[in-house]
Amino acid sequence: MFDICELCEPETLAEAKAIFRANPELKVIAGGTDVLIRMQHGNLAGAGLLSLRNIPHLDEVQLLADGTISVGAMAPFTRIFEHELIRKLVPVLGEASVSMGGPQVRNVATIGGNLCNGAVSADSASTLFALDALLKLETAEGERIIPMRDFYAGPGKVNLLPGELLVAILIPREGYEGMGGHYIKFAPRKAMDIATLGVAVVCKIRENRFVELRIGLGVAAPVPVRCFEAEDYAKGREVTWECVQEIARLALKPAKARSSWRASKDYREHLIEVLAQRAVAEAVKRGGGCCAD
Amino acid sequence: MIGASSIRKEGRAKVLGTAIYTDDKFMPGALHGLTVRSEVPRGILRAIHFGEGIPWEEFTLVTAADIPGTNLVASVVDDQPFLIGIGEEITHSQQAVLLLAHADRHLAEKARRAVRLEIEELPAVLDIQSSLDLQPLIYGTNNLLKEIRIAKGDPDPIWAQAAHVIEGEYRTGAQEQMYIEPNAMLSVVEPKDGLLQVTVWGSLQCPYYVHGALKQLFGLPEKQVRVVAMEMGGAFGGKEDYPSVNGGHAALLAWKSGKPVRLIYDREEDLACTTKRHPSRTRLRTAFDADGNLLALEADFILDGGAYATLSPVVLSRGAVHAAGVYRCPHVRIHARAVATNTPPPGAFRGFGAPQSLFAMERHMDRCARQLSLDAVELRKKNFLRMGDTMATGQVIREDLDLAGLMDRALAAIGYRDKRAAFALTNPEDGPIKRGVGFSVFMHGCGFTGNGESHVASVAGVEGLADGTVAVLAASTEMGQGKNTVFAQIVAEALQLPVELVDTAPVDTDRVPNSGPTVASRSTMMVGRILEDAAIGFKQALVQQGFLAEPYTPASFQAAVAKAVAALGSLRCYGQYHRPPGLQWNDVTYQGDAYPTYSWACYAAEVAVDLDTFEVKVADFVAVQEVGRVVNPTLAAGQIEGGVAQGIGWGLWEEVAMQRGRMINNQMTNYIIPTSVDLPRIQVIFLENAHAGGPGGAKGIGELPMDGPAPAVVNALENALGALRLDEVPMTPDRLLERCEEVSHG
Ligand SMILES: Cc1cc2nc3c(=O)[nH]c(=O)nc-3n(C[C@H](O)[C@H](O)[C@H](O)COP(=O)(O)OP(=O)(O)OC[C@H]3O[C@@H](n4cnc5c(N)ncnc54)[C@H](O)[C@@H]3O)c2cc1C
Repeated sequence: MFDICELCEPETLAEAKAIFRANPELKVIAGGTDVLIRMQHGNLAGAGLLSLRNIPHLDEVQLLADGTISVGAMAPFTRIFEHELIRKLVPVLGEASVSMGGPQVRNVATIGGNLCNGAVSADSASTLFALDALLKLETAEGERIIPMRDFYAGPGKVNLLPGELLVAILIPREGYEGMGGHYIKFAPRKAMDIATLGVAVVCKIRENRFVELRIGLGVAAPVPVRCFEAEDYAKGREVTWECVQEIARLALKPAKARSSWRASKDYREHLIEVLAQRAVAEAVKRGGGCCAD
Repeated sequence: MIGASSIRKEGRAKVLGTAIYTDDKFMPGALHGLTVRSEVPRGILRAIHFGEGIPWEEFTLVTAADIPGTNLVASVVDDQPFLIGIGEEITHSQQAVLLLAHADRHLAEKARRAVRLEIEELPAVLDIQSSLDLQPLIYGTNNLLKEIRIAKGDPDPIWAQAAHVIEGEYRTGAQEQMYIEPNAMLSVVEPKDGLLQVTVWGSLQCPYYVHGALKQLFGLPEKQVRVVAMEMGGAFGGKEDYPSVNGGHAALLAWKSGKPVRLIYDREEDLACTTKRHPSRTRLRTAFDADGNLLALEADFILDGGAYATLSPVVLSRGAVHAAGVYRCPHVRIHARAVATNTPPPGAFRGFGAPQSLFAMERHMDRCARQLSLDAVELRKKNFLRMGDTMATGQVIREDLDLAGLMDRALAAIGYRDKRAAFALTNPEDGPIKRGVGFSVFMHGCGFTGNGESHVASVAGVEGLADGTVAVLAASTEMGQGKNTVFAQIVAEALQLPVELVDTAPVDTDRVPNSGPTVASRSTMMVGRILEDAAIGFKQALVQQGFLAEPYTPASFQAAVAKAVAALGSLRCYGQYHRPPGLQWNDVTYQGDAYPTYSWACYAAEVAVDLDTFEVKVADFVAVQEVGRVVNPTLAAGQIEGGVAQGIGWGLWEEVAMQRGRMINNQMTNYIIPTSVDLPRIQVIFLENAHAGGPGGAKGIGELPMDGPAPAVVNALENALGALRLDEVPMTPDRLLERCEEVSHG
């Protein structure tokens, strides 16, 4: 069916890193829901594959001693949104996870693959941006931990070194604790569709004021972006409907919407504003605030 | 048997995965075929360059120069070549130029990419208006693939006298059939008894179309060509005409290589190059008296027919005949044209021209009601066709037609009055969600338009088998619509047997007669009727030859058949189509009985529009139709639900995005068809009305449900949002935003 020249299936992470160092031209395959489509398009003709499927523990979701939530790169989306820790501590990531494709896709598609594929529409990316997540990357030589926004280099491009694997996504305690969150995936169809826009919002509210607000946008620019101006504006302000509207207006700042046959620039910008409004309002509510005008 | 929901004959095999589709057919040593296409919309092919690094000597290559017979696909008009030769004109971006085959499909794919075509580009026509303006001339003397005029009375004097004259322009986009199984063919060409024998197994709706195309392509007599319809994963018209093209391509490769060849399209190739629904533009002008009675109607109906005529003349014909809708009107003028453009030829798709012209008419009726300050329901009631009225072609309504009753039934089922009243109160409130209800009333002509049935003169039969069971002999194919089951029910009813004793013979042109193409909502009604005759003839033959005595039991019938087959070797009985007395049609004047009968329907939709995002949700849907007798309620309801889903998709989401004459969203990920979560509950209500045409009074239903959803949904949108320029489908969020801005900016 596919034009594949070899398939390596290491049993340990160390073995995988060693193979990858020796053969940096190998294509890593996790769930394969992006890789196989590329192969189908003939873009990876004759490739050798390095599968991470048989490596134990790479798909686990854990709470580390310091309160960091670690999501294994090989965790499939079904596992993530069904996981107790995610439900309790970062429901917004569960929301993003369950918005992916359909049940069959979610059963095999991994969060690591979603990020490493580099698509701006990746449903987990904007949420992880908003959560200030870090990525744990490893080569045979060692590991590095980088913030999400240093990972995206351009459309479909991520900063992975030769021989490097994404091992886990780390959500530090400050990223999620006490935060209300909401993810809106906007797509023409309610299942099996790629986002026209993704808006992820998390916020911490005290006495109906924004202690902190973070907004991640997918498909608003060539890479997922954070809305720093909007976030700075919110800090310390009382939650009012006007304030939410202003936040939404400022959320447009980092956007570089373009017209395509899928949607015009006008329509995309309009969507960013109205959906940012909705997402912020809902996140506020979940964070215990109230934005009645 | 008729009227029972017998279970789908091939259902078990499909569910168990044992059904054999074309690509499943085991064929040792088969090569993989691929097609090299032009990729530019118009130009002259100067040369084909074969790139380096490919062992070309291992490949089977076919160009136009190899074609043994005629390089034209047999169709309504034979204008489409199978392959474009050097020095010839390329007329659309998906034109096949070279066929190649190799045992290694990956190598074949590399080879395809290594071919470079040298094409001298020419200016292309990519839309309807440029074609009408002859910018430039690309087809014949006027860029017209077909022109039809239908006239009744004389509208000209009416315009000046009438109290109201209302005009509108409506557009509909292309639509992909999106069958689950892409187009697929498998061919073997080898000598048999010293004669060349061409065989094609494929995913195809019309075995005898492909048969005819292969005869012409190879210049062979009937007996030397064989076409077998394999299990089919959907078609919706998409495998009506195109299989004559790819079937021919597969056979050319098989003939040149001397080996079996598979030609299986992947989704992207299938979407880019195979047929779609014709895009349309309809201008309507109607005159009403002060009371809202329709006095005159003028329709300028245009289809974008793509680069070749293919089926456009007949699609246009159905669209034109349906253009005046379900209304009585003394003066009608319909001018219909299919124009040529440098785009891949559209073709058959469920509805076949009628959804386009009916969208225009049913949107227009709501616009007229608004302008006349009349209720959309009342305006229609005043003008509905009734028994004794004549349609645009002069056809007299001979049945006791009660469209008002049908409409009332649909409106009651969706709660039209209550919802209108409720939404009128809630919509002006703040908040982004606006709701509306709307409906459409329409008909679909059953069977071929005009003299089509007489030209085809279909034959179908029944055959006794050695085990005493009965097989249906017909070239009609099963594409999921339930033909296997319904034919068995019809024959079982005629023979008074349980349906288990009747099955379908493989659809193989060596075995089954030409019962016509599996199209035009004609199989149950037209072929079913012939089968009824054949079955009765079969029984009489058994009786006359002394094998069977009446009355009989199923067991004694089965024993009689077994005995007859043992004694005679075989026992078959055929029936043939005969034009029912009283039907008249003139192909030149377009006057007469365009169809033997019509199915009638009213569809109602409730929508919720989100004015923040401009998303439209269809919240509820009711489909009421009068279809004569329902042969199999479960299968019939399935047809309606599926058609409604397809119609809503066409109305709201399904957009074929073209760039330089090429579809650019040719994947399931970006050509958006609705999923089950995007669709409402669909309430299906059948009104039965015994009609003499089909078996037990059945009419056609396959295409009907495609006609009504789009206008019903857009009419509901207008109810939710007020007067906007809602004149086009798909009404995507982007387009809706644009329409709303037109209003707010004045
Ligand atoms: C039908 C369908 C629907 C879809 N719907 C959605 C949707 O709604 N939203 C969405 O965001 N996406 C969607 N996708 C895309 C895809 O499913 C996701 O991007 C998915 O998360 C990819 O994960 P995977 O495990 O399948 O990755 P793979 O295809 O295995 O890999 C993807 C890329 O990441 C690299 N990679 C994977 N894991 C690692 C690792 N640990 N270290 C380094 N590199 C790695 C691979 O080399 C490859 O480049 C859909 C895909 C399909 C087929």
